[in-house]
Amino acid sequence: MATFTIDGKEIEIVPGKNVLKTALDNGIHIPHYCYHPGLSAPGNCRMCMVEIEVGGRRSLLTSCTTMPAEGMVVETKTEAVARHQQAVMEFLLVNHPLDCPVCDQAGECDLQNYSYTYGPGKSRFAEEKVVQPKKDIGKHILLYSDRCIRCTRCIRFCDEISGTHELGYFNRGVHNEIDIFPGERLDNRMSGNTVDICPVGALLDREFLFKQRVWFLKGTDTVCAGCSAGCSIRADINNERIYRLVPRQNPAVNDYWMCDDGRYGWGHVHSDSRLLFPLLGQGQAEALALWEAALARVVEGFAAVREAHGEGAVAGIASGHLTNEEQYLFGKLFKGVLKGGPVALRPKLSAEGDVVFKSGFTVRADKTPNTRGAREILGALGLPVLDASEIWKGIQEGRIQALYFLGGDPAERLSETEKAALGGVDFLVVQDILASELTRMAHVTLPGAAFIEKDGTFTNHAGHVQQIRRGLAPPGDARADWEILRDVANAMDGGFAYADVREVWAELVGTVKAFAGMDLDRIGDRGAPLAAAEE
Amino acid sequence: MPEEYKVITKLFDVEGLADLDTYRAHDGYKALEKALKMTPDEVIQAVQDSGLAGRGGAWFNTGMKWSFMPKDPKVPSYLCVNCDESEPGTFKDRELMRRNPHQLLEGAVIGAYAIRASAVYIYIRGEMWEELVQMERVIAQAREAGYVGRHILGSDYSVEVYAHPGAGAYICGEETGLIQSLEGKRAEPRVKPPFPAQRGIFDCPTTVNNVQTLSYVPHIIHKGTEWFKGLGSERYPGTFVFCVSGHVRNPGLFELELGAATMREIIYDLAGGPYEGRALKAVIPGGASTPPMTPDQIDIVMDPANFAIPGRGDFQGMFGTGGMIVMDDTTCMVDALLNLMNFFAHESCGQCTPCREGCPWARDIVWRIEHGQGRPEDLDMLLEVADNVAGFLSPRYSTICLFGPAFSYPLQGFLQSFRSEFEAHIEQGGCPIKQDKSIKVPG
Amino acid sequence: MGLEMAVELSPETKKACEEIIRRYPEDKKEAAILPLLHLAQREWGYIPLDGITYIADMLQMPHARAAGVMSFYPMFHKAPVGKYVIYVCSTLSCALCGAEAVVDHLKDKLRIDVGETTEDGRFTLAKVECIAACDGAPAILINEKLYRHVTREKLDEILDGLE
Repeated sequence: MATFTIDGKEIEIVPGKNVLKTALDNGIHIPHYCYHPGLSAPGNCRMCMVEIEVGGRRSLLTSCTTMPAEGMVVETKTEAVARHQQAVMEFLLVNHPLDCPVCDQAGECDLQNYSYTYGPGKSRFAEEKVVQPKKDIGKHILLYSDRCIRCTRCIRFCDEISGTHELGYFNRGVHNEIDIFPGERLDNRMSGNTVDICPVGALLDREFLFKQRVWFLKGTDTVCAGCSAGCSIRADINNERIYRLVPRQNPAVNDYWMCDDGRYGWGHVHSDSRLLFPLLGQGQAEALALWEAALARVVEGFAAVREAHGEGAVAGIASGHLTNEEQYLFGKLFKGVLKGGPVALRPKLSAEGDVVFKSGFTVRADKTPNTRGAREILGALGLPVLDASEIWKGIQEGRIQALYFLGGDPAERLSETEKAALGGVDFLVVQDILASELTRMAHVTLPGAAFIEKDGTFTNHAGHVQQIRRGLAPPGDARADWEILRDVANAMDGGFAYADVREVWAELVGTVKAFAGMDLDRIGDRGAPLAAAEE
Repeated sequence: MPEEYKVITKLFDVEGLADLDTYRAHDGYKALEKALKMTPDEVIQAVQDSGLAGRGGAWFNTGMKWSFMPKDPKVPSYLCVNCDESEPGTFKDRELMRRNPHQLLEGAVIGAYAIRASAVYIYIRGEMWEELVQMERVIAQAREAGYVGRHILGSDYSVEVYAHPGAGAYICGEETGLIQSLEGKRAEPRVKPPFPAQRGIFDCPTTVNNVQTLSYVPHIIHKGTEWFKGLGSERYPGTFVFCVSGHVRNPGLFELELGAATMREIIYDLAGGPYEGRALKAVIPGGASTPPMTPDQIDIVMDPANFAIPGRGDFQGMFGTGGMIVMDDTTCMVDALLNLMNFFAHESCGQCTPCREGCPWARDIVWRIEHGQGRPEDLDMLLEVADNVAGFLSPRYSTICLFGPAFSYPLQGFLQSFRSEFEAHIEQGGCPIKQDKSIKVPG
Repeated sequence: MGLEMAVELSPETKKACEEIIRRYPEDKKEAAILPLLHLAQREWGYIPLDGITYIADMLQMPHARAAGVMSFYPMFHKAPVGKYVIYVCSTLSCALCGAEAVVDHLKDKLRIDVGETTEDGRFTLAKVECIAACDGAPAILINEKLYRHVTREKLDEILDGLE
């Protein structure tokens, strides 16, 4: 086993892993700017230089471009290193504006942080700063070039990850400036990632600009619900409002990235159209109701249809927007308690198909996070998931008279066929998050929770199961969907004695073969694959 | 009186030397014929044994550099000829290319053969457009005669030669900057390792050689290793084409054996010394990146070995490109330094932090001092800024390429040798020297 | 004074461009950008934005990258310049031999400042760094032609002699 040492600690050499990454992975921090583990290493910021002795020679070298070798001795905290770090910090601040009080990056800024830990503590620069302009370069992106430290992460992102090449490096020397080609804006669907990777407040998110100081934000680790990719994300929240979504690193799913659709797709959570209370009655006759009344109406409505037309007359529309636990409860409720007939899924597939970027990062055509969970779980519970056209046909032909419709779509839209079908149903219960023509057609509307308002798990397209977490309370009197399903079941004397969603999970794992042996601790923050997915 | 010994500048006055027939009438391409009858390794050995060292300023044994190239390349290997001569005070490569282009071409083809290159790119700075056009003609002539192209002179060896223009960037003279520029990129030097012999242009093994260096190659092959070794000094055989410019009566090129003359002899005896009534004040020995020398230091014998910096091992950088810039007593040293700092600030590629920020900062401080706005603390601060980029006597060198030392060494040198002049500017709040900025045409 | 029509290169120049592109590996066409920009500038006088995209597309190169490369090299002009661009070397050897006086003389004679173009569009005045003609200090380039040892009289003679 070939080894080398960092600060006296003996470490095994992993082929292809540079000294910097090795140090970071072993809990030894070396400050750096231009290096990012998801991108190539240009070695231009010079911040990561440490003392390295190899082959009898000792010198300051950039740790991000140096590969470990047998017997190499690396020292990260010598006086020479400290003086060098001070020098680099001083150089970086020479032309940098004193924008901290007005800069979004404050609080999560590597320039601030390293200045504090590694900088000289005072400025000797008495000349005129070279000032570059603040620019609007994309639908979501602003580039305040006066703050740019030329680490070039953003350029490399557009070249290596999105493969869209919008950013160029212009001019020379201290007049180096990062910019777009005039008229060709930074509008690729991964553009928001450039803001994440910018170590300073040069690249800024237009939606987040001046909105919130980061130290007031509390992060909730969860999963994006925008498509079946299931990117690991963190929702930054304060005062019960989302301020931004950012990706979390997950080598098994999304690496370091998320797409703009997901990143900027949380507006519906705080929409004025959120369903806050149960509603009874259709269209103009819609009226707010208490949960007890709503649940009672649900029980009564389905019972009536069952009596008049038999069990097969009650159908269900499952939803890929709901969690595994919710799929399970719905299946158990529908089959065992409600004793309904056919269940279908309305696929939400984008016509453009999967959108694949240069690095392989893919925005999935399936715009629901948990289609796979729905199919696996409902199927295992004896409810094969049909095509929605079967349900519309059934309604048309008079075989289906009632529908339990699960929604959860941030942008619900009914087709003409669907509208016609739904109009022909005697009793429609819709469980959803936003008011829409769908909910206006419902006899009972039950207000559910957005993905950030409940705990649970999703299964992505590849069978990777991840936890979602509650970062906000559902608004008004809305409830987590698993709670609603439990309460509906119990209103029908179903005896669903779940106090916590983990109890549902435990039962799910014990019942659905595909999930056998899964463990929430093993799933942790980055998820784990279904046994079938691992094959 | 030192004597010139002309090897590569010998034929400069021959009319029509750029024409193939004229060149051939002077033993042109005989060396190439001979080299093709040797094996590539024999050619490498011959050049290595001759002691020829890179004349672009690096002074690394050329043959040894060639030996780093793969003997059996699986991907194309390349030779790049560095004709991006942009070091202030240096103009020998232009003249070599302009006045004896076939000599360079012959040396390049022999070098390409030795390193098994499949193509040669002659990188010529954009400002030398006429030289580039001439080189295209020269290559075409050589191709027609069978010295370039497929199966040269009936041998198994084929090589393409192309001229490629730069467009106004000094940093293209840095070997990896040149490689980047050739690849159609911003000339931002690369982190080394990997070295060009491992991964150069198009990720293929590449050797970059200077014009002057390659110009010697035909002579070494034609007249032999021993002949070359018999010239110059023991450590650095051969001749060198010195450039002298600035405040001298007879600026120009002088080819002498290395170690054969002192700087004083070259400046006074060959270049005519300072103008009438002027006294020598300073000499920049080898291009703008070398610290200035004072009149008491110019009895140094012009051999790179004498220019080593104590404690910096084999670094011969202070001999540099052998481009001497002479300054007389009408020169304000602060103004001279400002001129150089402006040069470096314009030419920094801007890639890495210390150079990009440190170079213009240092220039701004020198500007203030020259314009009477200097402060007492400026001088030590200037030295610290320079040291933070590349310490003159410390092992610190924090930039990606040698551009960092290139601007910080002369900065430190000027301050070291002429500190009182800087102090006078600060104390007096202005430039105390009457600078002669009129047009001077020597003679 | 810019190019009003859609940007295009003459057949001869296009042919020269194609020959140059063939000097580099098939998948490394970007290497031809500097020689192509030179050829294009010699035909168009400068490189307009459309010109950059034209060359970039020929080399299958992203526009932002091509424009960034071009901006690194001062010999390429983004805006129209005079028929004759006078480049006065201003680095040390030429400065020691009177480059400032050369610039001043040209500023007076042409009545423009450094970086500007005369109203009749004939001359642009520029300062450049060392052009490797130090023994001919002070030296200047007018387009691609080098002039050494320029004096006031010589400058007048040269400029008056140009069409």
